[in-house]
Amino acid sequence: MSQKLHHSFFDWPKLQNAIFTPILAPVLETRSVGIAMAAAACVHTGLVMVGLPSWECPMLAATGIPCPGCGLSRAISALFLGDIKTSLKFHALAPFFLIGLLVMGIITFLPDQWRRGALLYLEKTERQTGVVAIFLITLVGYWLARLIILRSVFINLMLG
Amino acid sequence: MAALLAIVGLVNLGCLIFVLIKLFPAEGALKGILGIICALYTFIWGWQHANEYENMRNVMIVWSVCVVLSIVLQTVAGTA
Repeated sequence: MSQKLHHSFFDWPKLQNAIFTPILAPVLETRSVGIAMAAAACVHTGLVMVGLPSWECPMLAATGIPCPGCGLSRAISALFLGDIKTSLKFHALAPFFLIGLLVMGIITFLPDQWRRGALLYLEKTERQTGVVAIFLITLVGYWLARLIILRSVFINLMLG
Repeated sequence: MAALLAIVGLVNLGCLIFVLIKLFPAEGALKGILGIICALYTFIWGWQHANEYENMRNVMIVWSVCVVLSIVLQTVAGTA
């Protein structure tokens, strides 16, 4: 009984399958989705960089609790301005997210035959390394650590 | 103005949760996490699947209006 229960909680093959299932490649398969995401990310980051209002985090706006992605726009803006210290203060994983955005942007705007090859390569890389899944899990862990250990500093930084 | 922004924020969150509830079973837990981190992805996914789920189109229309409204209200609040 306990063994069965243990098995259902730690179903390693299922977890392994989830981690090594491609996430980014299927999202980018439809070019229009990639274009919409890249365009929205550019507009949003641009507006944040010049200090204008933009897309607000629904979770932060409604509850006052930052979501795992809160601070990423400001951190990426700071990275573009060369202010690494501020960027790390807002979100330490911003450089990795920026790499992901750049990969997304490049793949989206490649000519069709190159794009197909790049998508296959990305899918293979995700299947072999689980890089996107590991990044997402790390992001949630980082968010939980900030929320538990540096709660008030984190919330004030995001609301400010 | 603050009260209006709070109401728009709540509606925004409600729409996000509605779409996330559809996204999690359809795409799996990790894409669900991506949807929480990047509400933009959830927003685009919602419009992509607007015709596949009951009331999804209406929710997406409300969410889109709320996003625009929130940007406008923030701008007005900033200049006031």
